[in-house]
Amino acid sequence: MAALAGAWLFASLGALPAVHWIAGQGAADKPWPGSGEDPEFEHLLARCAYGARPGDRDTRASVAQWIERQLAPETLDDREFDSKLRRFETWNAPTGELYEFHEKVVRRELQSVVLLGAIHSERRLRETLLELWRDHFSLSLGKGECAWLATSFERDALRPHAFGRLRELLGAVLLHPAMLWYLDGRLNRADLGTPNENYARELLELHTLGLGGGYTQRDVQALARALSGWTSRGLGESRKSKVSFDASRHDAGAKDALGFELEAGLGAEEVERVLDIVCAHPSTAHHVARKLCVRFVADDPPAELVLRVAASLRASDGDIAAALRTLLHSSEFREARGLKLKRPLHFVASALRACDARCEPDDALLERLERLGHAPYSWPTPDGYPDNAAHWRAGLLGRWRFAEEFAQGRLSSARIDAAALCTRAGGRERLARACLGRAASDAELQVFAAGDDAAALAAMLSSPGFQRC
Amino acid sequence: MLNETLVTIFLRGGADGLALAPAVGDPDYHRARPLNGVKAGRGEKLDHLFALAPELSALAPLWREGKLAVVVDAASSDDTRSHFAAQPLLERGGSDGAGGWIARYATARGGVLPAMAFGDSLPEGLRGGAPAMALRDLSDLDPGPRVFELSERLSGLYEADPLLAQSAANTRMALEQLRQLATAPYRPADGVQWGREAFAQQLAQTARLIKAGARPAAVCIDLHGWDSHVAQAQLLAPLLLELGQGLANFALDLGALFETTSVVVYTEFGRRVAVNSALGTDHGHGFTMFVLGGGVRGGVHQRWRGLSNDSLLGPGDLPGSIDYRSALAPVVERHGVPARDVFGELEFVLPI
Repeated sequence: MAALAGAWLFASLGALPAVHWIAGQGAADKPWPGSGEDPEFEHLLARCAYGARPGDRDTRASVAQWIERQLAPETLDDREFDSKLRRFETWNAPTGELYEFHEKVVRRELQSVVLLGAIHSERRLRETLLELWRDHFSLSLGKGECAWLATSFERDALRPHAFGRLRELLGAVLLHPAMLWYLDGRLNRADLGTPNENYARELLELHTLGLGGGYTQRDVQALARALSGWTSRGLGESRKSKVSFDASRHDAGAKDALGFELEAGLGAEEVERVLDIVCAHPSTAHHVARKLCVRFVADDPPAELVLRVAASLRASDGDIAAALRTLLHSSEFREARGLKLKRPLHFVASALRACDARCEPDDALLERLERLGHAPYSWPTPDGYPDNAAHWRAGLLGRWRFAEEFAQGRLSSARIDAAALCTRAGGRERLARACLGRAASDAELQVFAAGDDAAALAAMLSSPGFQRC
Repeated sequence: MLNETLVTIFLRGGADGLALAPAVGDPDYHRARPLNGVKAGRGEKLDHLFALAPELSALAPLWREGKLAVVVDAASSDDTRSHFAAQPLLERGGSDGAGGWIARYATARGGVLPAMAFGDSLPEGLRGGAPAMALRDLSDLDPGPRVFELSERLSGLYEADPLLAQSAANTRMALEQLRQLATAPYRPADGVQWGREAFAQQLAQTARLIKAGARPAAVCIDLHGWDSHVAQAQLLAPLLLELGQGLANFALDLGALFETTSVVVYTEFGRRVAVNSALGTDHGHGFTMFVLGGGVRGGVHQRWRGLSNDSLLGPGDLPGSIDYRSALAPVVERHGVPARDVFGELEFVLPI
């Protein structure tokens, strides 16, 4: 499938004529920079930035410089995005106080932060990587009190550690009250019978070693015992969201897990030992490396690349940035242009970015994303949204509807004027180039030539070329 | 007369077979479920061992008419106890490669309409080349004239894209065939009151398609939420009600057309017999299936060996004494599709 799809893209790319633009001119009447003249950079923006805004191509940075800047997100000027976030009361509230808001408000503001980040944050690579962590450590707002706790999960567990060490990221996730709720860890107690296996199983299967990573049902049961006793306070209790260890609910006996002995009486320390063991397990590096490669390279990534990314994770003591460097500088990454199908969040964000739309995420935009089946923190099961074309390609009709509504200027969250956009871009051919990140093929141009500018833009955003990245 | 539409209902999350059809006649069942079990004498009695969950009482009339088959302790070859391995394994139905048993069945069955799945994507069971599409609601199929025109204008570009060609073609096929139907008013049969939940609505829309003469080879519906690690009795009660009420309404709304429709209810695995410390149950093995519709021979199908420790598997799970495909094989045969073409050679077939 991959080889075939590559051949398809190659055939449709055709010649890439040189395009000139004046960099550094200000204001809205500035002619749009061209695109497609640096395929490697276009690919990087398509995969690691939810596509390009016209202005993104003004940068004088090389591919390598862009990657390094993005890997140091704190050095990027993101004031515009940060100021947009200030309006969200719940995003700025301490975790325990989130319970004072209506569930719907907390939920909507968190989803808005995610959507706004994908469209507007200058920390492009971090936003695309966060999408992976949201799937890897999937939470569903519908379960228990997750709706009140996921804000802190995103803000305090995922964002600070996105490019950090895997051990720290896992540590922040494992005992976060949202995850203790989601995987029933808070109810895992050994004093009333057999411990609840749910969290231990998903920790091994999804968060660390991966299915087939060399653990057994006995290991699941041993870790369930090891994790017993941790709990989180909820609605109706004082100090809501506080995570604590209750020794009386913990199984203090010795355990054998994954070939290691956990001696009796470790108490609250035991969870740290568990984290050390699962993080150091070679299957964990491989499992996470594969996730990274699926996200950024291909649905079925080359095994050799996965091994190299896993090796850099292990050699760097689990440094996620180091693994990303290996991945983004690989020939496998460069050669994967156009092989992935955009997921709906990517589709929506890249459509808005290509058209330079400014948006205030409102209920309309979140509702569209929900209809496309990709609202943040809404996948019902702990395996996270699938990251493959086989899952998402059944939803083309929804994308066509979205493109049509948006191109006609009828989407309240981001109203655009297709005719003005076309003029600003310098014609339909140039607009198509900005959307696709490459020159449109003759067949594409023929389709885009029909109808008025809004119909042409709808066709560009609905075309198969725009669904790929 | 051959059956036409096969409706598969997947209880996602691993539905506890002993919650669907508790073994109220087995003393070991009451020992394993002292607090959250079903008391003897409650629920429609199925045989000397089993009863229907009390929340499934809406199915009692179908059971008494011999239109409901209950398969106890069915299983796939799953030994991972992982949702995400066991679900696709079940849906592939024994094939080594990708692609599901429902897709193989639908390909063999043919027809002018694509097979359908309610949701945002095709389930694994419907992947692998059969004409199929996913939709949330029938009204999706009437997106307005401009989108319809857009889909036609783009058809050439999509045909040339190997990754997306078939999805685009299936979408256009469904739009062309069902656009009018999607907006026509619908009145269910007398006595049917469809609930507002997604599951009820999807069954209602399936009934509506069938009654309008649009009979896709397969319709796939998911009912989520069966992963009952915590407070199982409270968690499952509303789901069981939704399931029983939905199936009963479906049969009633279809009337005579139910005789040429098949319904299969299954799940990826059953659950541990013993409860955990949170009054839930953890992932297990053998599960319970329901088969309903035209030509079904009602009754309980079981090879029960009890719940003593030596008849359980691994950490204390039902052993999975019946290959679930042996219950599906006669169903696809009633649709005119040789079971061999869907499941390969099976060792035995249930008389179901």
